[in-house]
Amino acid sequence: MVSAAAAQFAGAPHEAVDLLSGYRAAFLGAALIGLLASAVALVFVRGKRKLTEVPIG
Amino acid sequence: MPQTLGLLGAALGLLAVFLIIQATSREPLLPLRLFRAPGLAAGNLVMALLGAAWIPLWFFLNLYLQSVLQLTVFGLGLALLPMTLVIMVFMVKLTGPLIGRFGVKPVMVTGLLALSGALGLLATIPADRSYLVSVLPASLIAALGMSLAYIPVTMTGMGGAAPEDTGLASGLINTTYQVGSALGLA
Repeated sequence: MVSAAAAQFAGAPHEAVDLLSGYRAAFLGAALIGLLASAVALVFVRGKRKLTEVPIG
Repeated sequence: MPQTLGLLGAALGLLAVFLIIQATSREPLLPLRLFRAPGLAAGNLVMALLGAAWIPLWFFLNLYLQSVLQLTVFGLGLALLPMTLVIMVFMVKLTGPLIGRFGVKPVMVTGLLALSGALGLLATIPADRSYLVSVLPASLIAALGMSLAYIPVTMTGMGGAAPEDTGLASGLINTTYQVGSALGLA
């Protein structure tokens, strides 16, 4: 099923299509940053600290 | 773009001045010795990256829902409500027990990977699907990832600070999150 938005984009000017591509690229960039965060956490964060070891307040 | 880079350069210059003042002042606002606390630097780095991944998700998801799926402002609010509910419930009920059982690092990495995966799904987002198919599943996975990652990252950033420095460490990690969010969005 093609939504009204898709129909709009099917005949859309280049600017609208660029808009969707821009959103996708932004999400992809954020995904890569998230992966980088995972890698940093894996490498630099110490292992098995438990909840009770952290001071409260 | 040149304006963004120029402002970024100016911000870096001001940051350098701030660090010099903190290093030479008798009573610095942010004593640099704080960064010697175990885990603080790593926690802040991960927090900056978490903000840089999370806030663009909200920003561009809002734009996508409005400009592509043509949701009204009210519909947009309703569409994002499930994410908020997942974050609220999981942070309160699930993250603590999971950290208690598995430790900080596994929960943090799992959350960050879930968030990355959800963003990867959104990177393939089409123009011809409904909210339920193309947005809701990915957004719920992202919310789950954020729920799992945020508390462990905060704990890592504060856990090594001396008791008298926990207020400073807390302020620092919150600031780091804001700065990371702004940089990620830029």
